Amino acid sequence: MSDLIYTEGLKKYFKTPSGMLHAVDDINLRIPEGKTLGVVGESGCGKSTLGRTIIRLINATEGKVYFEGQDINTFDKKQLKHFRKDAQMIFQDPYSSINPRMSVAQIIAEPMIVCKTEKDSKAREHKVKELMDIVGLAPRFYNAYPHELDGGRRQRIGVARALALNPKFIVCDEPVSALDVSIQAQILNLLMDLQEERNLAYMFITHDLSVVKHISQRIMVMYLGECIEQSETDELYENPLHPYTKALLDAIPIPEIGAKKQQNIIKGEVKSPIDPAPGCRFAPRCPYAKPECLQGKIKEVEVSPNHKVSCILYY
Amino acid sequence: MDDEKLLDIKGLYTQYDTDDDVVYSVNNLTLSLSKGRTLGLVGETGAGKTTTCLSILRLLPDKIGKITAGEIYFDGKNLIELPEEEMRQIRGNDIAMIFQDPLSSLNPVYTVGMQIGEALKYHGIYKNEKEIDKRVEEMLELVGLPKERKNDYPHQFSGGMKQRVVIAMALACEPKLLLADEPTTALDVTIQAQVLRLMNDLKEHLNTSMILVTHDLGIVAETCEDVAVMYAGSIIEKGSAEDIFNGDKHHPYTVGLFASIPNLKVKTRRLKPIDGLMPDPANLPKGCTFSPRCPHCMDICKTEEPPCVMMGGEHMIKCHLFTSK
Amino acid sequence: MAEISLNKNKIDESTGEVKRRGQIASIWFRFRKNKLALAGLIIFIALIVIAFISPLILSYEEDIITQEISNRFQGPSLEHLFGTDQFGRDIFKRILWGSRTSMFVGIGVVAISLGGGAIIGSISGYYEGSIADNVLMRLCDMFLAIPGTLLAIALVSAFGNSIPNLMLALGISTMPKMSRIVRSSVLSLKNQEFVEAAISCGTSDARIMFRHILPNAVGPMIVEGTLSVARSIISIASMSFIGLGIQPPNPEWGAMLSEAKTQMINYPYLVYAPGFAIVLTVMSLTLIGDGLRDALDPKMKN
Repeated sequence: MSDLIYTEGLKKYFKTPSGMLHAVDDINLRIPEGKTLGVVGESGCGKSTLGRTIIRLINATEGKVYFEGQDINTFDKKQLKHFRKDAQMIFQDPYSSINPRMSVAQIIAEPMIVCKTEKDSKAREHKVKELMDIVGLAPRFYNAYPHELDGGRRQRIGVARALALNPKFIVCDEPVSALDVSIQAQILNLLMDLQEERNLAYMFITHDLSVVKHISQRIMVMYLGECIEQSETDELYENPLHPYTKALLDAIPIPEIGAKKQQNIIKGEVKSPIDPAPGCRFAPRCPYAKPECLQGKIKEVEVSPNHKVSCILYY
Repeated sequence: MDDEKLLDIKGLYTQYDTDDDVVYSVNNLTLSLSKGRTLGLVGETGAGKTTTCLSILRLLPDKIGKITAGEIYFDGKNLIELPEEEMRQIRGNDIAMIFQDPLSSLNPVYTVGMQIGEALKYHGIYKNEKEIDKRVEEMLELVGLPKERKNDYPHQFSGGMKQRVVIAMALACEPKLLLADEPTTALDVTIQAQVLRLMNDLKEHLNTSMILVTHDLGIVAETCEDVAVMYAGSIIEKGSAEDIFNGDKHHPYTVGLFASIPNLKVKTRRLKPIDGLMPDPANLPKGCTFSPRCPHCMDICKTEEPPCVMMGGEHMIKCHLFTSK
Repeated sequence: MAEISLNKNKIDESTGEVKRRGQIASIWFRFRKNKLALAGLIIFIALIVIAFISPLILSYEEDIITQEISNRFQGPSLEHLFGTDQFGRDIFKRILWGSRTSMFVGIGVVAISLGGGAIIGSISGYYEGSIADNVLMRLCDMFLAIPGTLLAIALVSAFGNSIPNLMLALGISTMPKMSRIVRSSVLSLKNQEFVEAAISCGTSDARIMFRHILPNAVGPMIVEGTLSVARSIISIASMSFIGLGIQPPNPEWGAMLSEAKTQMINYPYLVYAPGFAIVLTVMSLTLIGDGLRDALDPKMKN
């Protein structure tokens, strides 16, 4: 299967007063057409930065991102504008991600005006109504303003705006984490239906392991800017390898009585991603940590086909 | 019922008077909690969970929020009739509350030690500075923080540690009842697991009763003995955790809530969410408030408020579907 | 409070209609509740109406500048409501006529400072830390270091004394403050996700600034604008007072005050009318500004 998008050693560092912040560090991933890659991790692990770097909302520090075989970091203005039509983003916060001074119709039409895909205003209006129908927004909201709508409907506007340019790839940055469970399910269903109809590829960023299992075919677990485990979804949940992945899975509360008796709760908290020490970044919290963990970079090991893990336990 | 009821709320109504309309936030809520038990109060945004907690503490926003009817018995006293002075003694001392956002519940210009000591000083349990200081150190160690950190300021703590400090503050006076309003929503899963375990341990250790407000059914299953499901200001189903998670009869809303969460164990292609939205609390539907979204809606549901049907034991469902039985 | 904020979604599920209370309507609703601000608005509208109709009912040649020495220093009476000045001109009529200059110049000054401030502020805010930002902000700092009136005096002396020059001078002297206000709103807005969303469809910087960011920054700008109309009227008055603003015999409130100062001890009523007119205008605008600040802040809703 052809990969729509893949990266090679992608890095994004930020200069801060206290040192270099390693937000994304040496990430290699691939997303085939029409498939979903879930990116999981706790706050501050760099997953949102990764999502923004991969569609060049922010420029990478190092490494390459190939979209349909071309490195997007070498694109000039014109190529970039073309790439923008193919790669879109859905944001986390349904409140700050849409302009409060624009009406629903204006918000959805904006990308078409900017990219000049629908120059005729009648055709644009038609397209906006069609998109509203696709994402399940009633026509009566055509002229409504965002503050009149609830979070779920606002998120639908965000989805419609992302679809306006007929993209092939959408980065979904925690699109449901600000929503209530029943609304969350509605949006997840919508995203999955759209993927089937339009053969969309998603990069689904979330901290919620139940949601990511539901929607993705492949999952990447991130910790402090690094990818520590990558695998097909079912394999990852049945056979997690990295101690951090295990701890994450153990920590999810399961809505069943006595679903698990006494889980292993990892101690401590996420360390700072500023100038990290060499070696495994999870080592300070890891129950299996050995002195070797802190000596040099941890190599990625392909334990079974398509299941990669970065941990010395599997050398 | 042999064990004593610590908290007994009967027919509580709370409303907010805003500029344009009256928001009916809590409607005819009846709820009780025995000593040493944990009740999970489950519901979505706007269901009135937080308002219920604020009503118990009588901390509703001035002039806007008010309790219009009902009784709240705590330890035999009706809190609604208590003068403000006595209420102030109960807050913090007998009933403590933990808020969702640890960031905004700590004052950035005081050390955490001073903030934990504040409540102790106010309620006059410990007389001299030395005793208070000792108690503060004790509390910090209890929540798993080194006692030397009492001289640190909130910004020097991470989110999970701040929530620990907040818990230490709440528990410093050994309250009989702890109201925890989404205490872990702002935290990461691994930290959430740590905090939940801590709260569970402390509750057993101190024999505190707790109302845990949450939208996460997983957390409820792990920590609560009793569960109450809230919708549009009233309890639509309550019972033991066993009844709610393993029982076979449920309110249609509870069914919908369970179907909305992706299950880690069962592979489903599509989730089955509840159609529609929460009703506007300023404009609640007549009869059953869930009727416009209910797949089993009958004619009677649109006109009459359903009665509370007891399903055996403590299990109660407020739905017309079960009245014929 | 979640319960209260829900109230904002005025969607009536049963009829399926969005109860329309657009942004402007809800701002007006909140503004109307502030009785003082409403009073300010009514006074201000009345002043505007006066400014517009005074040329229709009065003649500049006959009523405003014709001197009638025999009639000088008449105290207030039914014939001359506010009395007459040292040249026997009716003060009431001159006040009415003078409202045109004061209002026109006051609003003009603010238009210049708002326009310039919006452009400077959004450029330096959007390109925070760039050379353009640094140059613009240091220039603003330089201008801010000189007292506004002094700067205006210098500019008017350099470019010549005329109404457009006066407006420009006062506009430039208030521009740095406006730029700073716009810049700080732009700084907080440009990190919002809707700006990122605009970038992700390849929107040009200019369009992001003027279509997405600036409309969200109008709140503070409008408030600062109304307040600075009041300040510019005072500035014009003080410029006229020292002889740099509007030249006699053209009536202008500040100039009238200036002329009256020599006779103040013998004929105190001369200063009452122009002084009162200035105070009334400034007060009405200050009240409107205060009311708008509250009305534009959605958090003030409850």
